Amino acid sequence: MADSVKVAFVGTGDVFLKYYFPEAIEQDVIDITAICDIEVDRAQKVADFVGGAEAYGDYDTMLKESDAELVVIVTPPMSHYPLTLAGLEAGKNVYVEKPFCRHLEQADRLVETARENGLHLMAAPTILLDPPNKMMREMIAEGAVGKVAFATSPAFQLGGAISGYFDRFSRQLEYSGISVLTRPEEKTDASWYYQKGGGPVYDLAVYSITLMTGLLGPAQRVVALSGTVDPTRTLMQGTDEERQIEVTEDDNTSILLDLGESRFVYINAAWHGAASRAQGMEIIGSGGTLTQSGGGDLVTRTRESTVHLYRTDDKQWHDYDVNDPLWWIPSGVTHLAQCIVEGRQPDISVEHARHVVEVMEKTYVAARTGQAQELTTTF
Amino acid sequence: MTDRVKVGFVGTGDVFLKYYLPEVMRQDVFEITAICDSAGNRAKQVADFLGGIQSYTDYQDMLDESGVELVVIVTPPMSHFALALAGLQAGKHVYVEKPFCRHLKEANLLVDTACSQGVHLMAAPSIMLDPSVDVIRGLLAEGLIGKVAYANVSSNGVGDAEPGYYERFLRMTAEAGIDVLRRQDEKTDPAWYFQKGGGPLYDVGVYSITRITGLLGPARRVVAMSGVVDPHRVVLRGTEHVKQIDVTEDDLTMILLDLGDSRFVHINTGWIGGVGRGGPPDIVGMEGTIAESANMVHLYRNDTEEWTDYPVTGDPWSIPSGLIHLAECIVSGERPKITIEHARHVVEIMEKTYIAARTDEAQEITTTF
Repeated sequence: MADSVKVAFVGTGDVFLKYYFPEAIEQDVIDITAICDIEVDRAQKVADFVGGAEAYGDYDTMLKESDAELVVIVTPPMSHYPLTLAGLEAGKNVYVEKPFCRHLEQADRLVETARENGLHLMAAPTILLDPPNKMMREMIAEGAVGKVAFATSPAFQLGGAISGYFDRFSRQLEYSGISVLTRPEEKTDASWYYQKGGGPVYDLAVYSITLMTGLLGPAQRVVALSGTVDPTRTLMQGTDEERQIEVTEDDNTSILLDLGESRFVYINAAWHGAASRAQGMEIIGSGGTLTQSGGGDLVTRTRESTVHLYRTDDKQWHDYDVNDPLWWIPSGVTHLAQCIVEGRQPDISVEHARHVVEVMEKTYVAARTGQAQELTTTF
Repeated sequence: MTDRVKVGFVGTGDVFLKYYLPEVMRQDVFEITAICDSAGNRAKQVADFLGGIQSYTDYQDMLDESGVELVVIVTPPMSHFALALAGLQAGKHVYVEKPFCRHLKEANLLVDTACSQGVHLMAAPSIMLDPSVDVIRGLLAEGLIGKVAYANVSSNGVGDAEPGYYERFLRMTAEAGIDVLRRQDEKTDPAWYFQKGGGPLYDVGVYSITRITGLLGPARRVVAMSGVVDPHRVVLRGTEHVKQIDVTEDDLTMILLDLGDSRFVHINTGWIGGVGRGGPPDIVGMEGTIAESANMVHLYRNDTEEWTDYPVTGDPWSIPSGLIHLAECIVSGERPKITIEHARHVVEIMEKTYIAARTDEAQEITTTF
């Protein structure tokens, strides 16, 4: 049995360079065998940096010629579905960045294709495997907050073109010792954040929805309000390619999920909000409140997290420090590669990712029709 | 022109004893003229305590006989509409505790009656009189957070079943020098908090809805989810009347308000306790965030990436603030700073929140203020 997995990466944009690439270089279980980008020069530069990896400008060619066992898709959202489907049909295990895909119909087809071909399929975000979230899940299961009543989980940031983004990006690469590609290049254009198929629901609230349903169980119904607050955005701020674009996907969406038994979750997804004094995520039940503070530093890849439990019986906050290493964005690939090597099932399921896709798709349907939408999937 | 207002109180329960009576006794603008309570000799005990005041067990008798100018209704929620209407029809100014009433139809009739009678009508909560409101309105008006995107507010309590409630009540009334009435009396039974017509939405959600629409403007549409988390509650803990009751009104309601122009508000209201770590939630706009803490409003600007603190000065709002303001307006002839049309709008939101939750359909809001 091999002790590493041959991995091909598709897409060499910011997310690849900042997160997946440094992780893949460090992890022995990942054997980088191919790099694919429609801008083949980019792929070539990365392949040269790795040494011994093949570069491809055409995805189908890579699927045919490369001996990769696992394809990792780190491309813009709209391409996830066709790339994933082609990968599965070519007999590859597939890991795909968030969002898994856009529509439930697509998710069904991907899940079905993976099953028929006996392949692993995993979708980001894998945050349920993050130690503080695992701790919260265990505490909830043990009844630490009694019967859950409601939860809030904000998902907001200024957007994908915020000032200082490029500086931070450069710092992250420098920290990781990766100098192979630098921005700005046309293919790392952030306009998709604001255009049809982008937007904060699929890009950002996907975390909150994954976490909340992962901790509390599947949703049964959704209602929502959604719209665009700011119709134009300035991109590539601080570079010589600065320009204005029109916002064509809602930049402000407020969501209520019904988990059944009068348990409700509020999630707001917005490309607005740089700062808040309110507590982020909170889960409130008949016996207490559960939340967490701190978090990971994605530059230094260190963490300081504390889970906080308020118990109504003793009226005290109880703090639990989480000392396990940071579970960061690409850790799911490492986990999947280990599962492939060990021949076991991953700790998170693609059925959960499918449920989250349905929640996101029906959020927009609910907002546009003004009618609560039933959710049909579970996990 | 007189400088005092002859006032008659209806209801001598906890809210009257803890909040209204001590404050009204301190304020020169009031001349307490009559006390009414349908329960036994409660009104008489209060009247005797104050001295020289008429007591009534029949509300209509008080309206007909007492010569009060302003009727203050501090009774359980389900009686507010009928008592307010009768007061207005008798030509009295009326101040009514929250909730103003249950249905938009009722609110319309009350507003029209006050208008045709030429009398003042004010409904609690009067929280828009809090000085923090002026600070936040100022920041919003200056455009310091730009166009508002969303806000998240909550009104959570534990209903009346909170341990220690009774002890605190005794302490408050003792501190105010009012030990005239004790609580075991059947008429102060708090079961209504949990029963049809009670519930957190009309009892405490009304604060969040009033404040956020007061700050950001009227709502156009509502969607909501609502249900019962805890079907049984224990009330009158710490007294010999402790008992378990069935919860027949939703004890948890989550609301999304659409204010138009893609501006959304989330309001969460429940009898869940809801101890959170964060301060009062934020109002987020395109260019910044407004947050609050005790006696302070905080402004974050996206451009400077800094928080600035704005101290809130002036007398903080308390439950009877609206009543004092109304009495002062009656004396001075000025218009009150808060409108009954706003209270009506809040009633419509609350009524349609339940409709939206039960029908699964977004409800249009027709009123404005």
